[in-house]
Amino acid sequence: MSRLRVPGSFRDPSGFVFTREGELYRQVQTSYAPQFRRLIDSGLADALIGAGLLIPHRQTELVPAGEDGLLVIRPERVPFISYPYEWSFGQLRDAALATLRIAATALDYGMALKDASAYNIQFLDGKPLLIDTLSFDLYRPGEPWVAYRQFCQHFLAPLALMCYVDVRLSGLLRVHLDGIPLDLAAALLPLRARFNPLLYTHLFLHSRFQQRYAGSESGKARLPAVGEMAVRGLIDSLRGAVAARRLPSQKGTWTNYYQETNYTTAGLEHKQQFVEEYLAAAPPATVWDLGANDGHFSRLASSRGMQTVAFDGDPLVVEACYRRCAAEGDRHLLPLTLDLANPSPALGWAHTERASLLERGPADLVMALALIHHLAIGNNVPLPDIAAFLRRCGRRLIVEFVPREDSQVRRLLAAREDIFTDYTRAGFEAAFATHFAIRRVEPIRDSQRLLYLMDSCS
Amino acid sequence: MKLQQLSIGTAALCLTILLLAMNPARAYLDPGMGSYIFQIVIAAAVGAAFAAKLFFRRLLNFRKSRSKEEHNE
Repeated sequence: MSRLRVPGSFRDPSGFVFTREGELYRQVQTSYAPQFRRLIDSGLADALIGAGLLIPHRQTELVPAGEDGLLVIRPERVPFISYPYEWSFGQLRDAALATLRIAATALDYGMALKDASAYNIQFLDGKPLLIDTLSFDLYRPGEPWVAYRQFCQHFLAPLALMCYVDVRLSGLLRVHLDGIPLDLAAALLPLRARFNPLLYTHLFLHSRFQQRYAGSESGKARLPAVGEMAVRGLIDSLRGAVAARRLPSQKGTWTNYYQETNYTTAGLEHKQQFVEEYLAAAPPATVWDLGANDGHFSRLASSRGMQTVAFDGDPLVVEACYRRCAAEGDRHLLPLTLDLANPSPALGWAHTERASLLERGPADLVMALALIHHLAIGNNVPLPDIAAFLRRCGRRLIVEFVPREDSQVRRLLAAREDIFTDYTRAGFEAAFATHFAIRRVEPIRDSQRLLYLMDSCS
Repeated sequence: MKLQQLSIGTAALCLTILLLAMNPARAYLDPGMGSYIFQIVIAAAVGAAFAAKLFFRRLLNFRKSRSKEEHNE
């Protein structure tokens, strides 16, 4: 019966999120009563939920804790929590557009979106939606959009940097948890970015004003009012600025991977068949595909309705995977950018606000296909350490051993001294036997690679 | 979209000239006030541009429905 407040849920006095017996709940405080009533009674909640923009919730009979508690609701659970620094360009862009749509819709019902944090958006069924039901305040005519600064820092600045400088700059969001400071974005963006009127206004000029008026004491009561048309115009202007952002067509290191592999057609088909048979025989509820590239094998799971997360370190390949998911309406696949040798750590206050990768696991099944050699040889990680890590990632494992004789491994070793004496089939099996029970070994047709099915042993 | 860009571009240019004449204050902690004031400054321009956009869109829809009626007769 004990309730545990989710550690990262402390900033908003309107309420907080907690877990109880493995279920997730949100407590609403009495101070938020008028806003919550308006959210429900005006029809805004229904409109947003119907449009797939707000997480659905149910009222509960639970008694709220503390003197200030009003009621407890139970939101629908998001299968895998992801963070903006893990999203591809397209995901960040779609999350931004969803935020603006929500802000505009709220005005139609006499409410205003008070937060434009990227962490309030999660992907459910392949689409971005707002998970913080308490993000809405009553709209007071004359008041500007209070979330404007946050929107520019969380969404517009990183999108502009990814387009004008380098797609990898979304990684800055790991360092700056309240979005990229505008003066930093302005310093990093090239001169030609200033010639775009919308970016010039919302990033460069905006930043100048931030610096000019920082620490200013003019009371808000003495400032002139901002009309509703101006607030709507601002949101529409930001929508235009986001929608116009397009990644320059870049070729990543891994973009043409499937054209450059050393499998024969028969070999690739064999590998596919093997995975499909296993998925059919022992269907997992959740799948992590590590080093998923464009999601070729991830889709074997997601097309069967299994909640799949496809991780890859190349942001352009993740982008291609996301675009395909969006085009095909794949509701069970979530592509994310992740460097396995440096996975997302626990971040924020007391390391508790944003969970590390392992804290968001374990998965039912982990697929580590054509991956081991990159960790063992490319990153010098000893095989026992890889086995231990994969054991923490999931309960079952499909792993592909790529031997030293393989052309890709020889390529990795081409310019280096071969110090990997334990990198053999025997060494691999010994390392993994400590953490897993090896159920089956299958040599891939026309290849020296081996596929293993393993179950973790406790 | 172009009209909005033009009006915002002009407003932005005027504001920049104004700003260049000001002395920058020492950066302090809270960036909120600057964003708040900035929004007030650009409010008129974005509001007017958006109103114009809605007006032209309504005009376009009206003319579209008119030409449809004439086409059907």
